[in-house]
Amino acid sequence: MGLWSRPPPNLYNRRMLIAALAAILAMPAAAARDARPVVTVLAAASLADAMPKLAAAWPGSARARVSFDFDASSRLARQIEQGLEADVFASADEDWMDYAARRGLIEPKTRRVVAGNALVAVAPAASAARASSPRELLDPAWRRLALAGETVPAGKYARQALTRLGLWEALSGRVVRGQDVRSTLHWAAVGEVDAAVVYATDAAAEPKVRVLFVFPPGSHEPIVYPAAVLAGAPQPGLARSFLDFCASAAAAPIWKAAGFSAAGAR
Amino acid sequence: MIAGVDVGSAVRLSLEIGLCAAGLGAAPAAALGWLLARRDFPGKTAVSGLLLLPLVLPPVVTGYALLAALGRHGLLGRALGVLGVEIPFTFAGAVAAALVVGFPLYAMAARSAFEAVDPRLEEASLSFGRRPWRTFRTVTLPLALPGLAAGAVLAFARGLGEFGATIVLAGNIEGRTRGIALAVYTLLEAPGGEKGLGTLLWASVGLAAAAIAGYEWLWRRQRARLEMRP
Repeated sequence: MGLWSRPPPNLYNRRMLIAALAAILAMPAAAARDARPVVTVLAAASLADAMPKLAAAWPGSARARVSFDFDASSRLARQIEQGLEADVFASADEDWMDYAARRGLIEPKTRRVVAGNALVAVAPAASAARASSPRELLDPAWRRLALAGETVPAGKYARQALTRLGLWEALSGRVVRGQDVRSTLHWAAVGEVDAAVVYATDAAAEPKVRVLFVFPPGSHEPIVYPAAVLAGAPQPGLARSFLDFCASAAAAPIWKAAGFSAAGAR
Repeated sequence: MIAGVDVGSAVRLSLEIGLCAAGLGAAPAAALGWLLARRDFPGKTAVSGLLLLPLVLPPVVTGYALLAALGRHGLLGRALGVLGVEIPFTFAGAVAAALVVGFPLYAMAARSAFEAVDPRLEEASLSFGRRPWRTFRTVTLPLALPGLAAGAVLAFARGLGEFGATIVLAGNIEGRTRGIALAVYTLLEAPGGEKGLGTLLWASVGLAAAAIAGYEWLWRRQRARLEMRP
């Protein structure tokens, strides 16, 4: 009676169900087989091209996987302050690393510069205008000059350079401020501005702009990328090993290929 | 000045941008609202759909489209350039961004306001021999006015906090395009910028609350006006 007098349940469906269940149960097992420890790196957005290549070349990658979160250094520093758990912080300037250091968020002894960058002026590739030095930007034909926002590092360096070269007073009326260095670059790429001041690495990554000149290194603070292991990193040993590699001579060719100057080569 | 951001100028600019957007949008929003409320025409569904577009598009995308259209190489931008008018990276650009992003709310409020006016009142006026334009001015418009004003308040409020379209079209320029939202963003990127955030937070909460209160009050007046028996 009852249960057994019913027609037999559809076996095909039951088999499918069992297969699906088995697959679901097997998934964590499959993931576990690849479960090398994960080193989480929080890095400035401008490092997004170079960092994964470094991670692939890092000898430790046989034992561990590197996972990245690229964002503005400012946002990353604030997220770390709010308790975001990670192993390494690579900032686009010393200010935000200082910010993290003052709050005890990094292991001070592990802090070091891993790479450097240069500041360049670019023009839309389609325009014929030429300038071989910052002073030539005074020509009124350069009507609109894009700089990154004054609080992001690229915008700060750009203002410093123009100020030290004695051009800020004359040019400030033509300056339009973008959000970050990439949106500033975009305005130059689409020809909405006559020139933009960006990092050498950004200029190298955008085929629709050409470099007019490089700002003399003395005209602004050195553009450096400090990195450090975070206090309370879940994988401090691996994090240190990855940082050592980033600052090593072996990493130098990878940095150079992306347009950076390498700490390991100095 | 905190971290290079003038908080007072940001609040003032936001108000100016919001007011300009509300003022410039009035005539087109009323015209479109009236058309959608009172007339059937081919492509009406398409027009009302298109009208909603800036409301649902990510504002950054709207900004990008505006930059493409109003920039040096855009069709409209080139025409305006001949007249010596430049929209991108200017106060006008910030107003244009606020206007476009807020316009759907504006026109929809206008449409509801006109729809709420009893057509029989208009017919009565016409039957007394008043010409259509005069009927519109003396009957329809006064009856719909509180609703139109409510739409203006919405457009103003939306313009007050515009961020995405503004930063792409007009940039983040102190004293020119940096309103409250852009100022908050800039302060968050500066070490020690938190100090200016309190003022901006209270200013935006206060302005938003005032706008909502104004909007509610106007709609209540709209309803009260329509319930009056002649």
